[in-house]
Amino acid sequence: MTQPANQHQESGAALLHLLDRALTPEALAESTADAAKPSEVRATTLSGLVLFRMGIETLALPAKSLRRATPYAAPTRIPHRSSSLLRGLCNIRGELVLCADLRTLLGLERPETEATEMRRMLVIGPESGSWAFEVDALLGIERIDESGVLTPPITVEQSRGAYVRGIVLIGTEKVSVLDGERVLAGFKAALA
Amino acid sequence: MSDSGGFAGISLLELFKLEAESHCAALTSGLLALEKNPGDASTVEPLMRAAHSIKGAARIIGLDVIVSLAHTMEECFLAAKSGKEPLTPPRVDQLLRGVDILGDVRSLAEADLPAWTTAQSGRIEQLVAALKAPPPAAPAATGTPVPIPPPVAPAPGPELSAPVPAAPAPIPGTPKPAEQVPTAPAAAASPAGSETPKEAKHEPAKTTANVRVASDVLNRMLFLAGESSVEAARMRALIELSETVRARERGLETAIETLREHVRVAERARAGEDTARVDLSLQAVMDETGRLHGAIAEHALRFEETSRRVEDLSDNLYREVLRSRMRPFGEGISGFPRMVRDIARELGKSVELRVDGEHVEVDRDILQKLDAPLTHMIRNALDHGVETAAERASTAKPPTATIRLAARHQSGMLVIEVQDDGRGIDAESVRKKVVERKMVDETMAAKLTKAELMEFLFLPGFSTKQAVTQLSGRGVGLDVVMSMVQEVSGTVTLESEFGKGSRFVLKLPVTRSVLRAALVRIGGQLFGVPLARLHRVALITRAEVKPVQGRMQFELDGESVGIVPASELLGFEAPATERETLSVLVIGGKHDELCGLAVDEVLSEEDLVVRPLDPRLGTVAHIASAAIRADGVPLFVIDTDDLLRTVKQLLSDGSMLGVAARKSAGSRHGPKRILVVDDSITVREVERQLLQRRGYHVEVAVDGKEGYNTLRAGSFDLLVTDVDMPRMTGIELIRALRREPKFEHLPVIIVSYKDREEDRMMGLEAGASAYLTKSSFQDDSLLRMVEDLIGAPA
Repeated sequence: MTQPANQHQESGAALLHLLDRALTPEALAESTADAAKPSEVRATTLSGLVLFRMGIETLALPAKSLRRATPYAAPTRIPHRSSSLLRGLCNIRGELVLCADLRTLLGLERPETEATEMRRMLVIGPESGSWAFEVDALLGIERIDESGVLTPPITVEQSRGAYVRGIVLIGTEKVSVLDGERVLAGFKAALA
Repeated sequence: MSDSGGFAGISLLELFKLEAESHCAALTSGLLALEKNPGDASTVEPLMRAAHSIKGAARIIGLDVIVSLAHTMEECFLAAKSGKEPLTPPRVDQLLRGVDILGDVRSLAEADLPAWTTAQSGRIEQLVAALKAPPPAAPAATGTPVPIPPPVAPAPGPELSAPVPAAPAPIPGTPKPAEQVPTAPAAAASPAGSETPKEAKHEPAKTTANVRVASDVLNRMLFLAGESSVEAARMRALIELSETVRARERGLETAIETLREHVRVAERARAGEDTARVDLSLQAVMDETGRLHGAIAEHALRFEETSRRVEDLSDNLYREVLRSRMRPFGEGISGFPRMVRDIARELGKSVELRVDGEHVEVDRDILQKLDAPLTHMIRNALDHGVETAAERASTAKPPTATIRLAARHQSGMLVIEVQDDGRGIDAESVRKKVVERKMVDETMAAKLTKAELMEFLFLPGFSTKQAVTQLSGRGVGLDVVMSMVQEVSGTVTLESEFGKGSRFVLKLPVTRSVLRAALVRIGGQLFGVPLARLHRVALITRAEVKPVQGRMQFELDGESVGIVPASELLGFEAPATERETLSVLVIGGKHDELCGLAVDEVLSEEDLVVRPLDPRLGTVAHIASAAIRADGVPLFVIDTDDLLRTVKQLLSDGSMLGVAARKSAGSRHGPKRILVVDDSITVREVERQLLQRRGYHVEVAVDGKEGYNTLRAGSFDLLVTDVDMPRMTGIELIRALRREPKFEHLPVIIVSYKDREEDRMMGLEAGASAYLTKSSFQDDSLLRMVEDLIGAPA
């Protein structure tokens, strides 16, 4: 939860340090060149992203954090347990898998329109602890340059910020790349 | 062992172990059969082959001592076969000890082998020498106790010069006569490795071969087979779709026919114009449509045939995979004849074990779980139940006692009986002991029925026999039996007539995997209700429902039955229906009051393949397991007992259902409230009386689950709980409570028979405030602890 804020503080401290420094022409040139670069920061190890649609928004998860994508499987509510986050159990290829709600986890708005034929289930997590969740549509897999992942702007809403690992530009659209581990941890919290 | 690590990554020792395992079983059962029925040459034959195969396998891995042992055993069988040396019981003892040694190798790790060989070679050589010597004289059939002899003194004379039976005759069915020749301590493990497979082929032909499959693989196969069945059934929808295609095609034909008529009319009206080309192309369209018609019809037919076959196949596959979970009862008890024989000889008793229902099919999980409790009951019968021959003679019983082990299916349950015709249990001595141990006071004890007294025998540490014998003593009581039975939600009863014998009757579910259930809809969602727990399904009109003292009731066979909406119990919103009839599941009965659960509708009866709940969910109130319906929809199976308990709780609380009014902790008057949870009625009563006498208000629950529900429904200041309980243990209960804010700080005392440090730690780590043992009833440590935690009663 605190990670994006920390990073911000760190880069703030670095900036102050930089300002305290006496400037040489070389350093000035370097600094301006630096400043002119796009604000790509961390090198990440993303090899492929699975893109999916939730309402009007496109989101992505690293392909390696997902176990499988299947046709939509309606969850069965668990008496005394089901909540807006823990939707129930669903049948994923003959196995019963716990089903969570990504919309609730990320605080996304619920669409007014009916779900379409396009909706799918994505399964995340290890075999013995996997979770299924519904997405409105699966858009495919995109290979992206590692340096193309930007730190999420601080403006990303708090509720969702904890689960976003970075922003990637695909075409003209800014796509939030979710962090598989954090999403999984968020789902797990539904059991507590 | 330098050449271990043989083919395909399996070490040669592993191969030897596998081979030894099957041969050891054959040797044991063969020896026991032979002892009963000596002179049956057909029985000796397989024994010779088994010993011979082990010898060959042992030689390959260079286990010389085993080679020599197996060889000598083979010689004994040979001598028995030729009639030179019939197998007397003492000889059988020796041979069985040989089998035991072979069995020991099976449990050895490769690294331990050299040390084991060194340590055991003396013992093995002694046995070999004894086997080579003439058999010891047989004692009188039912005489004085014959202790299982310690390693027998070596026969006179150096081992090599001990009389060796005549040169072994070539044995039919064995590959190379050369191998029969007693080998000098086999040189290293080099003889052609190809001999093993050859020899393996000469094993006695079995009617069915068995393979080992990991149970989770089997489960996964079961799920996949089920899913394949579901998918196959979906093809039926595709057949309907092809019907639509056919109908559309017929529509097209009709349209073309109409078009043709119109063209004809037009032709007649404008005679002479060039219509031949139109005619021609129309004809072509019609021909094409005709061919399309044929193709579609054929496709539909073939598709239907294929899909029906696939559906059949998947169903068969599913049934077979399901069946693979079942094993014959006989398979699980194969070790018992030997055990009975050995222990009976040791005790100097003459006992026959009779087994009925060896072919009865039992779920492999249950079969496996049965081993420990059956062992215990049989040992008990041998040790305490069965008398010596002399004693039996004085009571005019046949000198040989009988222990009967029987399995059968009865009304959907697996019934297992262990019966002996021994001395039985004296109910009065149990009654005395119950009082002596201060488990109940004298007045209460006097009122206990015989059946109730027998229940005490299942309590941990309760034994009526004064002397703790080596065999069944060891502090392990019949509670082993009880806990296994409760774990699979079965029952066990003990009937005994003093002087005549005892009988244990275990009733267990035939399988834990398939459940016959009624499918019902509750709050718009499907649920399964075990048919065995369903008393009745009633369809009643609204007019039949009448409120009595705030409770809704209806009449069923002259009895009034309360109705509660199932959806509310399960925490769902009830769908607003204005239907005139209500579907009511009537549950309970026998000991419980009947109770009606109003559901949306009752759909059908189905066999459900039940699966345990995801462990991440922990215990879910009112839910026993999950399942996937034939159409692929997941559903939950209701734990009717648990539901019934909640209903009773809510009714006795006086809180009307639907209102869910609960007493709040603050506005309460009267003494402090304590909940006692223990599955033993005795312990419960002792604790209740103890605490009540001090002035506390005490309520009780019979296991963790009921305790949990009781706590949620009422308000308590303290929980006193046992650890080992069916359905939900004390540890599970405490963990479940600590997860809820309401119970985060509830003081909890564990009172358990377990007094090991790790048990204490586990209890305290789960969140217990204190851990006491049951001896705390004797002194006032329980009361002191209670006062420490919650203060005086009022």
